Order: sequence, then C-alpha cells, then structure tokens
Amino acid sequence: MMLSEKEENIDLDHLSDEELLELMDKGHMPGHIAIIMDGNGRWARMRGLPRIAGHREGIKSVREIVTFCREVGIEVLTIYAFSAENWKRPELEVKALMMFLEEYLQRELKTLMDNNIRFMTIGQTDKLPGSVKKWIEKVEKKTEHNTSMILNIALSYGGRTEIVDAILRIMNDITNGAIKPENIDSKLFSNYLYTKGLPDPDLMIRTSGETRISNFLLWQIAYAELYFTKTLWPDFRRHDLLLAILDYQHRERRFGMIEEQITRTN
Amino acid sequence: MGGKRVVTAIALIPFLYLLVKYLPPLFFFLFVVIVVFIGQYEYYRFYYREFNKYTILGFFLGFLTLLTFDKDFNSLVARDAVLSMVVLISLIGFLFLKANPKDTLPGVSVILFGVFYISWTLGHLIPLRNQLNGENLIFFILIATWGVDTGAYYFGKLFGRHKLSPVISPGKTVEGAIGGVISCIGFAFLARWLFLRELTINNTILIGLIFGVISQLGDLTESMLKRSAGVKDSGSLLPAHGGMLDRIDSIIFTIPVFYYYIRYFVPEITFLPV
Repeated sequence: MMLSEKEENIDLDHLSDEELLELMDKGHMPGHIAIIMDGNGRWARMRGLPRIAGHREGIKSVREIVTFCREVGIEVLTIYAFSAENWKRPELEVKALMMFLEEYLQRELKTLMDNNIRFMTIGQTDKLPGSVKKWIEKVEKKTEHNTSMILNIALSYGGRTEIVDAILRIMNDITNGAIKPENIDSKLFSNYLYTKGLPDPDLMIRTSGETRISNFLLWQIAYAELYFTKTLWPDFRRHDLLLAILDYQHRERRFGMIEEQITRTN
Repeated sequence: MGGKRVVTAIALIPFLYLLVKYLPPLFFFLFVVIVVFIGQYEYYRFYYREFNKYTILGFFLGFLTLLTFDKDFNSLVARDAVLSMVVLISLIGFLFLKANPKDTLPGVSVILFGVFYISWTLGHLIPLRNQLNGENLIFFILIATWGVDTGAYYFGKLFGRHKLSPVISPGKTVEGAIGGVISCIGFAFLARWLFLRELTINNTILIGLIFGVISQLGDLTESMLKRSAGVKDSGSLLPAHGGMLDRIDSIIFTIPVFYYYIRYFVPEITFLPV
C-alpha cells in the first residue's frame, strides 16, 4: 500500500499501529530523528498534578520512543531533555529533573545494552551535578561499542552556544597551527560541533503545539523536515511517532535541487 | 537419597535457565512470588500448623515487600514507605482479624518475621536479575550455594567424625562443614568460569569463603526454627528434597549477602541501584 502525493493530507490518525506500520516505507526511513519534548508541564496542569508528575510521565514516552525507534531501524535519535536555559526553572524542578535523569540512566542501561543502543550526550554536560555526570560517563562507556542505534540526549544544550564554542575551538586550532583559515568550510565546521560524526537530522519533531526551534540544533537542521504536533510529550507514543514518520515519507526532500535532479540521483 | 535429589536438581536446572535467561521479567517476578509464598506457607505452618487467615495476611505483606523490588513500582512508591506500612498493617491486620488476644504477641511476631526472613531476603533476586549481567549473577549464586550442600554432604560422609551441632542438626559434622566451605570455593571458581569471568580471583575466593560459612548458617538456623516447632521436614514439595524452605534456607542467606557484596565491594561489576 502506498499513498500517492495527492492523498498527502489524508487523516491517518484513526488507523491502528499495525496499519500505520504497514503503510510505512522501510526503505525511506529518516536516518536521524530529533525531538523537542515539550508539554510535560501542561500535561500535569491539565490533570491538576505538579509539573514534576508530567516529567515522570514523560520518561515513559522516552522509553517507548527509544525502543520503538530501534525496532523500526532509526539510526540516530536525538532528544532535547534539558536546554541551557532550563537551569533558570524553579530550583526544585531542576533538582527533580536531575534526579529523573540519573534514575533513567541507572534503570535503562540494561535496556540499552539488551537493544544494542549506544548512548551519547551533547551540550555542556560539565555543568550537571557530579552524580549525574558519573552515570553519563558510565553509560557512555558501557554502550560505546553498541551498533544498532545511537541515542543522543541533549543536556544543558544551546544551539548558539554550540556554534560559538565551535568558533572558539577553531580559532584555538588556528592559533596553534592545527588548521589554516583557508581550510574552513561547512564540513570542517561540523566537526567542531557537539554532534561531530553524527549525520544531520532528517526529521525534527516538536510536541505540544509550539512551532519554535528554541535554540535546538540550529546548524544541523538546515535541511531537516519539521513536524509539529499538538500531542503533549507524555502522550506522545509509538502511534504519534508513526504518524510523524509517515508524514515525513510523503514529503519531497530536494536539498535545493529540482525534482528531476532528485529522481536522477536516486 | 542422593540419587533422587540429583534427579530433582537436574530437572530444575533447565527450568531455571529458561526462566532467567529467556522469559520476560514478569515471569521471573511471579516465580519469586511463588517461591516466597510456598516458603512463607511452610514457615507459618511451624507455628499455626494449618493454612489460615494469618497465612493470607503474611502473603499480602510478603507480596507488598516483593513489589518494592520491582523497578516500576519502586519508582512510584519508595521502598522505605512500603516497609513502614508493612509493619503497621501486620498489627492492624491482627486487630481486625479478631485474633485470640493470647495469640497476638507470638502470632504477629511470627507473621512479620516470616515476611522479612523469606520475602525481603529473596526479594533481592529481582534487582539482581535487573543488573546488566543479571542472569549470570543468579546462576553464580545458585552454583556456589549448591557447592556448599554437595561438599558438606560428601565430606561429611567420608570424613565425618565430630558432631557439629548435636541438638539442632545431629547429622552434621565439623568435617562436613569444613568440606562445605572448601567445596564452595571450588564451585565459586566453576561458576566464575561459566558465568562471571570479570570477577577477580580474590573476590571469587572471598565470596566462596563467605558463602561457605553463611549458607551453612542459613541451613542451621532453619533447622533451629524447625526444632523449635518440632517438625523434621518443612514440607514435602520436591521429591527427596524435603520442603521448599529446606531447599532455600541457604540461598536466603547467600542472596542478600551477595547483593550487597557486589554493590559495595566489586567495582569490576557495574552495579545498577534498581
């Protein structure tokens, strides 16, 4: 079963996960999915619960999405867990988030190993509390030879800071003679970003109805397809991800070329 | 006796292997629940002689205690909170079950101790299985603990001269006990070679020594409880093995000791506090 271009706007939401899986084109999967997980607080408020309860529920979504991405053959999944600006949130909420993060690492290490998933982080992780840092290192080291998927978590991450950091390090390498200014191009620049070695995201998802990028992967999403959904993050499960992937698969990605060029290169 | 025991053990090993290695965690949890319930049932029979409403209260408390070892339950309600409630519920239970007032002091003590003696100790199997090499850790404990039994039995038969504890367990000898420790170290090395090669030699020897001693203490203390109740076998569940409690009295001691030993003293094994 394939959907034609004309049927792009067809409503797929009522289909079951199995039917959606059948519609999915296994040969045309986004290699790298990046997700801005938004809406935990709103999810909790709608239920009269504290914000922290929303974060806790959001972890369940993370667990489901991670294993599901692995199942359908996504190569890299980057999730925006904690932005550089999130440090400004109430102290108690930050503390709870750090606790959940540590708990997540401790509880999920076995799942990551069993599913052959490699764990990485991007962002200024040195700002995190010591015990969280310790577990990040532990999990990164334990999973470093896993090959089926990369789970990349953005922690204390800011896109502009990442770019400025890259520039500073390039300047540094110019001063110590490692590179020459005329060598600088976008390829070299990419290698100075936190995401060095990772492919750029093909699909960027933001939940909860907001339509902003919020300083996430500014350089890397140059050609990413953007997908916005009203679903709040704690409600975002495999069904919603399937919808996002199907939506992605029905878009035409041209990278600035015209349609005929794309068909020729394929 | 030896022959029948071996047959039962050989039938159990593939079952355990399948359970621990291939079935989802829920099955393992249910398996622990069943073992704990049978153990508690036999233990409560020491005192009550029959299955009654206090047994059910004990099961309920035992189940609550086991739940605290489950990852997802534990992330919702902390273990210390549940255990505090277990203590309160044991007393409230006796109040509402209208126990004979003369029975409440010994009765509630028996019920609550049974929960900690069997459910709390064996509950550590669940977080052990949740470790990265959890299956291997469990096989390691089982093999090393079996080594003590086997060694004590054959050493005792061959060299047994001096009674170890004439009152509590007349069949046991000092020579058998020493043999049990030696054999345990041997079996610990076998188990290490089979399942846990990352364990250092020193830790293997130490665990063998500790297991050799405490698993026999587990055995002796269970005999002591049986003596106090005037029974010989805790039950007749497995052919030639006596009751469930007779089988698990040693691992009741080795499981929590092993858990905390690897948690605090074995850096070569990544310990996940879950």
